[in-house]
Amino acid sequence: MLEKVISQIPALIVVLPLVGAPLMMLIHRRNIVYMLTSLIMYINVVFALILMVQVAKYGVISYHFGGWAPPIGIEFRIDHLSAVILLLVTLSTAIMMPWMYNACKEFIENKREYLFFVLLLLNYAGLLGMAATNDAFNLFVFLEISSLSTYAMIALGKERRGVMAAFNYLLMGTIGATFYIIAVSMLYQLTGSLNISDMAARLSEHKDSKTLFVALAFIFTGFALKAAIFPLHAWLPRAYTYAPNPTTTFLAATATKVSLYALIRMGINFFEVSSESSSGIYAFIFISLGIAAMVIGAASATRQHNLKQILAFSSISQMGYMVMAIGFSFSPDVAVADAGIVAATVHMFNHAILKGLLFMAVGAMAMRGIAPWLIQLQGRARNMPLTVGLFIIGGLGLIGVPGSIGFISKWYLIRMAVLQENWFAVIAILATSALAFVYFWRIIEVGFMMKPHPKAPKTHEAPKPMLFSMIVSAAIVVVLGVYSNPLTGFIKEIPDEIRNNPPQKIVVPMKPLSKKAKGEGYH
Amino acid sequence: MLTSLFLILLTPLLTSLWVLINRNFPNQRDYGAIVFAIGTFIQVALLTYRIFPQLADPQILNLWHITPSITLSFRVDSLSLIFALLASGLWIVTTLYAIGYMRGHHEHAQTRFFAFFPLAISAALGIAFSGDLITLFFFYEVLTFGTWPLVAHAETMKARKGARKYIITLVATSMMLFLPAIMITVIATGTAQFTNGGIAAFDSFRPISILILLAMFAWGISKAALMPFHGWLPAAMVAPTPVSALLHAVAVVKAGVFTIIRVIMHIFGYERLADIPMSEFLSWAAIFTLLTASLIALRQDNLKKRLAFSTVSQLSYIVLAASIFTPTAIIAAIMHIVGHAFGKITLFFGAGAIMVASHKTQVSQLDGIGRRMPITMTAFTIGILSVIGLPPALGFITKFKILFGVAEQSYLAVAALIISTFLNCAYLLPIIWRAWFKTESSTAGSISDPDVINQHGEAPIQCWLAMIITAALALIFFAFPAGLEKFATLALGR
Repeated sequence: MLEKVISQIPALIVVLPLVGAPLMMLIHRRNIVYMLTSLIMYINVVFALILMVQVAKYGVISYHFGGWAPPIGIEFRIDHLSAVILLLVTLSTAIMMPWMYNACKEFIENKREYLFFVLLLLNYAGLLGMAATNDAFNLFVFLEISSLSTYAMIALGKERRGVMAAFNYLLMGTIGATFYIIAVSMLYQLTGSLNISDMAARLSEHKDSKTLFVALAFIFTGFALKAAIFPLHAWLPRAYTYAPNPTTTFLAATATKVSLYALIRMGINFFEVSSESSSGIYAFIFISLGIAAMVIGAASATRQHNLKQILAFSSISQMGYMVMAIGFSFSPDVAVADAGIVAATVHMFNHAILKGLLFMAVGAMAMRGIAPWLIQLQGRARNMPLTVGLFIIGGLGLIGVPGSIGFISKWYLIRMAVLQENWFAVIAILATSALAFVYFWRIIEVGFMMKPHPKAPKTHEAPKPMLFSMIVSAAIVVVLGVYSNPLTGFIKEIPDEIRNNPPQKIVVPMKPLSKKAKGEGYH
Repeated sequence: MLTSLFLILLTPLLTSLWVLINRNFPNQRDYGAIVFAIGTFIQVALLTYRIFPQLADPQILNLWHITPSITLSFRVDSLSLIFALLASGLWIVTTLYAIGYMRGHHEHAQTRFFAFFPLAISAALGIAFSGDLITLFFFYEVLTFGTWPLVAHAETMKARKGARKYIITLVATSMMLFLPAIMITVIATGTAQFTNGGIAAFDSFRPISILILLAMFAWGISKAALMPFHGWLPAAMVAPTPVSALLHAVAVVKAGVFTIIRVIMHIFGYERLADIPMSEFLSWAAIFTLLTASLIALRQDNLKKRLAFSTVSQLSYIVLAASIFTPTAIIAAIMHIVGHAFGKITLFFGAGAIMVASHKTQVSQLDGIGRRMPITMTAFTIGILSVIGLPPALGFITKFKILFGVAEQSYLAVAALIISTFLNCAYLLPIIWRAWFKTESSTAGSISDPDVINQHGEAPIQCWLAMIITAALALIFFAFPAGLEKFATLALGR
């Protein structure tokens, strides 16, 4: 029985929140909705961990929906990369749930609170689906599920500017999704298939096809919009700043990473089959855009006066690291390409945890009236030392101070650049972390070392559930910072698996129940 | 050994906790901290005693892999024990002094001060016992960030600016030069472990790569204050005096030169560096720094600033000796870490005591102060003798060791040292002259210095007691330098 459930996990992990969402709509009672949502989130973390263990044990898990074999039917395919992304999404959301209890009460109107959780579940299901699926069209569907719920989540706050920011994002997001579907139709026309690995195999006959080139351009632009890759990042600061805090926290930790994951997935499968000369072009585009995003994002962050905005620009800068790392993964040198993929994935995971922690802390501070504006914080950080202390841990992680997970990702990024002897990239990485130090330390200095405004009221520490979430998150930051072997060891398998593309390693999951009659039971 | 190392690093952190818990009971808080400091020192001493017989071989302890290529490891050898004994021993005295200073000066936020101070000590001890560059870098950054609240303590505009310069210089250089140097070392050689004679894989390197790496290390470790990255040290003088005394004359800056010595001895290996042409560029940089800093010190009227520039120049003595790449010179460099510490901490204690008692901060205000504060100024005089390198103080011995070590290689460096000694006399001896032989001016309370008091006696007892101890240490070690020398010789290994 347990075996059966376990073999169904690739589907369950998506289906559970997807079914949960309308259920919450019916239940409608705030506290029950909250508890059930949290329950789903916690169960899903366990699911993601089980999937990781299974992937480590058996290799790629391929799940055939309805019993139809992959090129025809829809396939969920969990390999090392998507297992990490599933863990990233489920873990960072699960950590947030206790925090959400207070935050949603504070930042979202009472009668709409249950709606927030409905949207959260939908969004979450969409992101998990994007990570799990191996079907290009299916990916589009999940992308739209998550995008549409994102727009509503941004507009759900008490602030009216959120509506405008949501509309802005809606326009950009729709264009991005449309670009993607155009690319999928082109690839379909070229290959006659929608399964991503199958398409990749067939595309090797069309290496120099102009259609492929154009389709890849559309894919890149589409996902660049969703992942806020420079210069298509303009929607992000506004959306993050004016969205209610719970939305911002969730989006910052998960949404952009999953879009980037989709880009990596496409990159592995499509960009690399295209001819040598064009993959050089892709590498150049990714690396230069990544570096521009890193430096410009960090430089803009130093000029902001709103904590949420500082963190938003810092997100753009950090996404730049990952884009640059993807660029390195196109390198003909195998060692560099591997290092690129590993660095991108490690940083994705680490940044999700860090940004989650930082935005949670800002939310807690905003609840007590000492954020998001820097001027509100002036000299008042001492009123909630624990929250601000945890905020500092997150910030040190962002700077890449050793002992935090930020250092681990910086290590991998620099290692990748040094391996290719791309000293310009090394300098850019170092300069960006120096800028990160500047924009972050400014906050600390204002918070601790300035005299508070005489009329500023004294506040007290954040409520306990919020603190609990933040402490768990900070603990992960530190523990993985001094002992990240299990995670990085797992991530290190990714490039190997991609290159060898081992179909024989596939553990056939449980066949759908109807198939059992044909005697094809699961192994 | 693991447990004792763990306890040594943990005790200072427990001190912070103790301070925070007892924040409403000042006496319990502060004198308790002294007990903890004594405890830490005893543990370091016990560790020394226990492994002294095997000290010629470094004791290495690999804990675990942070990532597959990064390890967390510790190493105990005589170099680390010298630094650890120095930092933890002087921490006791400084805590005693800090009680007198902070109370006498009516400082605010004393709990924060006493809570962050042990954190810095823990980081310094961590640097001492690190077994590879990554572990060392971790503690190095902890030390930087942990001292920031101490430097910015006053919370005024001036303090914030000084602290900003302090942390930006230190963080920027460590991140943009030191860290990449470590990473290149690890990626190119596969290890960052300190090994006697250096990492063997460097043999296959082109000389120019080694020189570039060495330069990245030397300037990236800006806690050693090689010019042009020395500016943070005078800027950090906005801190309360106990911080300047222990951290910016001993723990932080000595952590810098300690790291440079580690890199020269145990990453590159001094024999290898000696064979490389042009590797003397480091000694040129050190000579430039020590002469320029002495010249700048001449023109400083603020007592703490003058002492800070004197520290910059003294640190370069150590770097100079280490960059001669001969055994005798390196032993001299290690000895001078200790030799400079006792003298300089006494001087800073004195500057603080004067500030507490009379609110005087400038050298030009010190006329005749020796008669009002005889104990302070006697200790201060011994400190000055030690820093200049005159008998009967320890500085004399270590400075002559440096001179002998340097003389084997380059007479120009010898000339620079002699000139610098004259400069030392020129900026330090006038302080003694003013204090003892000039008559007190009557500008006190006038418009030019409204805060200054003239009717004052000694600073609080904790202050001058601490000064007596450190000055006495400088004299005792002058009388019995053999133990220190034996210790330093052991650092070379077999």
